[in-house]
Amino acid sequence: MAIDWSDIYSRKVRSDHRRCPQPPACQLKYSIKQPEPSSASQSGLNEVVSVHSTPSLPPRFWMLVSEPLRGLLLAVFLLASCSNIAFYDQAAYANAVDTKVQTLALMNLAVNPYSSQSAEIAGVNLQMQKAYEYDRGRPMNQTTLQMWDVLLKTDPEHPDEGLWPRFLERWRKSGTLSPVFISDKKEHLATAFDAIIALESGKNRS
Amino acid sequence: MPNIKVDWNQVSREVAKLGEDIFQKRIKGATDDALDFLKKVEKDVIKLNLQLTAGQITKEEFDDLMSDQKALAKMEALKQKGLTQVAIDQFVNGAIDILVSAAISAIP
Repeated sequence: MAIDWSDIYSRKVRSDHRRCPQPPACQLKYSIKQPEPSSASQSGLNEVVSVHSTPSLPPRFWMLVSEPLRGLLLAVFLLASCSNIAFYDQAAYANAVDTKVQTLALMNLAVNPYSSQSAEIAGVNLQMQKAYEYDRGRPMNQTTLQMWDVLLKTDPEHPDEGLWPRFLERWRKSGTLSPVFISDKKEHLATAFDAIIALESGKNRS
Repeated sequence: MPNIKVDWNQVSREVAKLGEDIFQKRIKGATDDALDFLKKVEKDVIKLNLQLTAGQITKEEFDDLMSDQKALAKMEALKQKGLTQVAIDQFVNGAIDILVSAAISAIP
């Protein structure tokens, strides 16, 4: 059912005018003025509606926008300011995929001594740092950053976090790792990367 | 004063339909993902126990791998949180489109 807002608006204006024909300038009230013979009668207007408001606001500005439209515009502005999460970013997605591939490839080398793979380890760590810093610099990207934290950061309060540093630490301490353990760890790291990639690919395109 | 008519019933119907579509899809996605994750964890725990029993991994390695499950559960929860934020943004953007369309069509 359509509501005739302009009719309601006109009735309100007339009702306000009856209650308070000449409201003080400090009150926000609508009134109906009779046009001045020289200007309004020439333009063919019978009555002019004006707003008495604070002097800083131009009195006719809001009259350009009707009351229901004002409500709609306000709703649009309020909703538009409520974005929750960053948009999809092709570079962030590519970073996550590249890092996953490089990490899993390096893990295959854990059957060799840790010290013999230090250059490869440093390379993958650098790649991870780049991906992390890229995501850290994006606005409204806290959720993705928390996921990277679980993957990359060790926290004494949460000893289960830091999947990657815990793997490196075990490799460093043991010297070499068994293929069975490496395979199990690779599954876990792949699942963790997949979660980051899935969230990135699920984000809205701008 | 122009005769401006906004069909608020139509606007609310469209917004409700949009919310229903987006959030039902999100709930289904989250439920499916959670079930997949639980099945995966179940299979993984059985596999790790078998490997430990067979001596393929040490107790220390077993504990380490079990700790991973907690971290992965956190990752999954964060992923679902992020995807829900995406769904909320989709709803907000869709609602804006509906409101803007209503505003434009209300102008005579």
